[in-house]
Amino acid sequence: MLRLLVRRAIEGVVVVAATSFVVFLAIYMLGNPIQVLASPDSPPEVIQRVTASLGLDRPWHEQYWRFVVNALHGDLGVSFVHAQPSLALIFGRLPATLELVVFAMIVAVVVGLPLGLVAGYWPRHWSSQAISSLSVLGISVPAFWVGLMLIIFFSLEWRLLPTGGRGATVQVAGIETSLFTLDGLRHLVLPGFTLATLPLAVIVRLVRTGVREQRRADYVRFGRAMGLSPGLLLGRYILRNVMVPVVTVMGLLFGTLVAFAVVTETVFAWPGSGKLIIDSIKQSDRPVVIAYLLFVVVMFMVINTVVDLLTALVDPRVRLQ
Amino acid sequence: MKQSLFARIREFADSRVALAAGILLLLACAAALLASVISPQNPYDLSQLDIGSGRLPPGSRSGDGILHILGTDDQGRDVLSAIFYGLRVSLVVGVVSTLVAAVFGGIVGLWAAYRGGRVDAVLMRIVDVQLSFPAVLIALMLVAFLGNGLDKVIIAIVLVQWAYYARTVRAAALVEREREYVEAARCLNYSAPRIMLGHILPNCLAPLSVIATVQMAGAIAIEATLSFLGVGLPITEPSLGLLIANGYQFMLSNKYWLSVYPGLCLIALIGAINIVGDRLREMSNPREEG
Amino acid sequence: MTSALTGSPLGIRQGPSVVKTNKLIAGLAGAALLLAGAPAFAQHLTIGSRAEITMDPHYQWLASNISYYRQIYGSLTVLGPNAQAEPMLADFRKVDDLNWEFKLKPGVKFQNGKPVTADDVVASLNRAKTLANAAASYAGALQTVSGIKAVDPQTVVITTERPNGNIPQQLTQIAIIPKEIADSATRDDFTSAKAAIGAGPYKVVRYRPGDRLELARFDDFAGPKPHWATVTYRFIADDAARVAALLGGDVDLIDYVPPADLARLQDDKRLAIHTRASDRVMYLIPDTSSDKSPFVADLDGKPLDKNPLKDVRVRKALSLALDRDALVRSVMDGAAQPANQTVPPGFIGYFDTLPASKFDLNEAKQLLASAGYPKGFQLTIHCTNDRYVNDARMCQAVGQMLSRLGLKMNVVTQPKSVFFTQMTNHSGDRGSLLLLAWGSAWTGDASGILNQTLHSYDKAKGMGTWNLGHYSNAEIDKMVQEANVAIDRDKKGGFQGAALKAAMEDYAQIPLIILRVINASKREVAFTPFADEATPATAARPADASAATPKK
Repeated sequence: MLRLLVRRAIEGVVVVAATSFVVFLAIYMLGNPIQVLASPDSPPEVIQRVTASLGLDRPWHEQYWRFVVNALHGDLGVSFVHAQPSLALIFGRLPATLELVVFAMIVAVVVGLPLGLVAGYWPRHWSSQAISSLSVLGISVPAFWVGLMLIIFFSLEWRLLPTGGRGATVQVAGIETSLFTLDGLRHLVLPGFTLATLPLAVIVRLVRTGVREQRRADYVRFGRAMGLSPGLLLGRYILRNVMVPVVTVMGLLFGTLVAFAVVTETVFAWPGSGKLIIDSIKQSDRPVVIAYLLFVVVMFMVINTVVDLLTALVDPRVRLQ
Repeated sequence: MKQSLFARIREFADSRVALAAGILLLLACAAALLASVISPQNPYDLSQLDIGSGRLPPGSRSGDGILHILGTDDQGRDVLSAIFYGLRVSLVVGVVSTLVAAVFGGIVGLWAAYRGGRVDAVLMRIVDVQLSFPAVLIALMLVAFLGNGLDKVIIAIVLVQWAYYARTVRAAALVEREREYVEAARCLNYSAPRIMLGHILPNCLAPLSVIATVQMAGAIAIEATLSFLGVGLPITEPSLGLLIANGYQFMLSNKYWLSVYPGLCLIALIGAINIVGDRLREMSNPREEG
Repeated sequence: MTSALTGSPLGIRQGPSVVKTNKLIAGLAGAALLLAGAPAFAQHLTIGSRAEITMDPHYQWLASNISYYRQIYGSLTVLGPNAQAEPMLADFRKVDDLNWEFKLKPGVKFQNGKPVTADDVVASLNRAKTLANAAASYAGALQTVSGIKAVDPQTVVITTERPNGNIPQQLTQIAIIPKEIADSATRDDFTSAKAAIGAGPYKVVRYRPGDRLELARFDDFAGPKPHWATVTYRFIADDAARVAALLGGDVDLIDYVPPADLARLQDDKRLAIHTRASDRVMYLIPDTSSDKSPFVADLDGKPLDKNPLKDVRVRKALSLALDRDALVRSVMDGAAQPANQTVPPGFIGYFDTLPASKFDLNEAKQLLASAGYPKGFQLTIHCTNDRYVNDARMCQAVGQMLSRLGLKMNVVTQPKSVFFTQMTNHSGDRGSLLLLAWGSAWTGDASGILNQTLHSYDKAKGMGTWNLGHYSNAEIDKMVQEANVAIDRDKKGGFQGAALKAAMEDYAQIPLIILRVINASKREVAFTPFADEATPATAARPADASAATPKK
């Protein structure tokens, strides 16, 4: 266990270094961002001076070296657009994204797991067919479309929920969050469900498939023969066995949702990190793009390590190495 | 396994839903293949479009006498024709990128699980890195270097998706690897590829196919999202996703047909792919009850 | 003056299906509006804004930032709705050709209670000019300024290296902050709003990055007192989301209304539209300099041995093939007007007697044939898809019209980061035909379009940076340079107009349309739109009873 963690940490350093190199090189090749950033009314001498003062006229390896040295001092550069250190900017936006993702994951698991179990255990029943069809629907509709439809009906037609934005926040354990205010939750519902469509559908399908396979296993037949109730069988035995792929995929989805909440956050004007990264890409705000990518890499590695540990916990057959 | 094709189709058709989905999928493929024959208009030919007949509601007739059953889009493109052509683009994006990503990712995942140790560690770290790149960024970079285009979109989707297959196959294969039959095969000195492809792979197919159907839907959705964010396919040759994304701008002004019909079509297409995939898996997996 | 600027109704026709659903939504919504009541509304205003603020006022030179700064920090001069500089914190006069005097108005105070002094002004201007790390530096807004001097506590003299009549306009761009903050504040101080102290009519209460900016009225502001006690800006970048926020009643006023939604908003009795001509003209740039243009080919895709766009007849044919009325009607939903030059009317340098752009496909085809291309050729048009209103749709529509001319058109739309990097590369392949839109607000005249986009490209002199077709005409260059040193408005306007006319007659640029600024609000709010698309809360007020009667 400890060995795994140490090893993962060492690997992590290597991966972060490699990523920073690749990303830096790729972004360097995109050309001088000042050309795009500066006001079109800026004379060339200003653009040249700014380029030089930011060191963007140096060869790429020099720029990279400077980046590495600064990074080791905890400085990942200052946003070209927001006049803030890029890491601070990202962490400032993260709580909003995290609460959106957490909400979506909770919806996905709370709704998806039971639906998947039911659909897998009674595959022929009409409700299972309906669940399967709906899960297909869930992965078929692009998120921005779901979002706009929800806005049109819930906000404009029925006037039940706000059209977008984040609601009132409170400080909980030092973090501003809107998860614990009524206004915050009202604002969270539509983007949360929009973001939940995909993980929900994936979990339903995964669980359903798993259960259907397990149903034929000897222990289930035996249990059934002994007269165990479906609820007990599902909840106690089958669930445990279908959890391995679910945990794996959920871990992946969690990170993905954090990184890819771009569309939901755009449609709902949600002030999270997904919106930050797409804006930064569009505005050529390179320090933020690089810092964000490195942050996401680290986040994924942590999630993957946790997933591996959890997998080992729920299924002892998987060896930790 | 030696069943006649006819018998297998019979078995497939046992499920009414799957039959309907299969027919729908065939119709979609036919429409895509025959797009240039059955479309009232070539929506990719700028000289055939007239912006003056833009955003006509369904059932109207434009100046040149074409009946627009599903209306026209903002550029005067016949929506029905655009759907047929768009279907073709979306299908190509979905099928090609899914195939390439699944084969590539599956091999990596199997290899990692079978070898374990250092190989596994290195491959899985590459997977981690891969997964950490937002699709949009990859696509945007590719567009910067290469320009918009179908091939670039497919490359971007493969680069985003292969890692999912690798991880999923690896997770399943790790469990399989510990089973007795693999042990037995090893004792018989079977070669590694033979054990992996011949013995472990078939048992990983169930999760792989679940992921593949989900990811094919995902591929088409990613393409739509890239279109929504303004990178990806050329705007004059829209896919279903691009049609939806374009129509999205007119939803609030009640020009629903620009976006709703391609949307319904996309949902039907992906739904049919998934249902057919599910059915095929049920049939191929002896461990599952129908 | 103001009444002429607001709410000129645009003649827009509606399809039958539009009306039906609208009524349904309007009916449901109307009921909710009655419940909402008015009192809270009278003091607080929520604005849904496309652009977010950069809190440090000297970090990123952007019109959308200045729209915020003019309310929070204030500047010596400020742009009026028609893009002309008006005194704000100071009165100004020209001392001589090279010197301008700015005298702070009496009683002008910062929000921390201290009076604004000449030292504060000097410190602010210097900071704007030299702030480290500023990628989009304000230095460009102070071009030609060679000296900034405090003569006495109330007076600042600004010296220029050449006669420059645009100094009052240029100073609308620079926010004024207290000297001690200009000298010592860190970036974080601005973000946490600790250092966000200015001399404008609104104080920053709170800034939530990516989400909102909350303002409260500064009661000691020396100028006209704005109506709203508190103002919230919500940053809603997505067009549909912003319109939805207004329709849903979450915000009171929005900017950058997409023209496609105009009809629906106009139809909605709860809402009011505020619109005027913008400072921005959309136009095409042909590659007039390359001997072989990178995106021109013959009909089989083989490169042509010469560049047809170098021939003025071909450029004229392109212009004649464009039905600008149709572009206005179908692409812009009426929210634009056809352009015959790249500066909008009302701006200095606009040439009054230039004939309207003609649409004549037959004449265009004849011209193309007489230039030696009776069957046309292949041409690619490059455009942005996230920079200007409806840019990608305009691009396709232009493609359509040029394909009617017989050209085989390819339409390429790219994100602005990609587009501008490629197209501003002066030493490599750029494009053969580009779509751009140029705004002239901050100078209020044609100097931007002339210096940056029509003067021959000259890196050393800093001219023609945005002359992306590398058009070059010595006569025009001369007139542009003369206009630059002319201080007298009429004289300057004369040179600029002549230069612009010459360029238009040579089809150096092919003007398409003049865009419109469109704001929309609840009916209870009146708003004066600005040519530069600023949306300051100070320009909003409660609509008076007569204006509040239902439109239908």
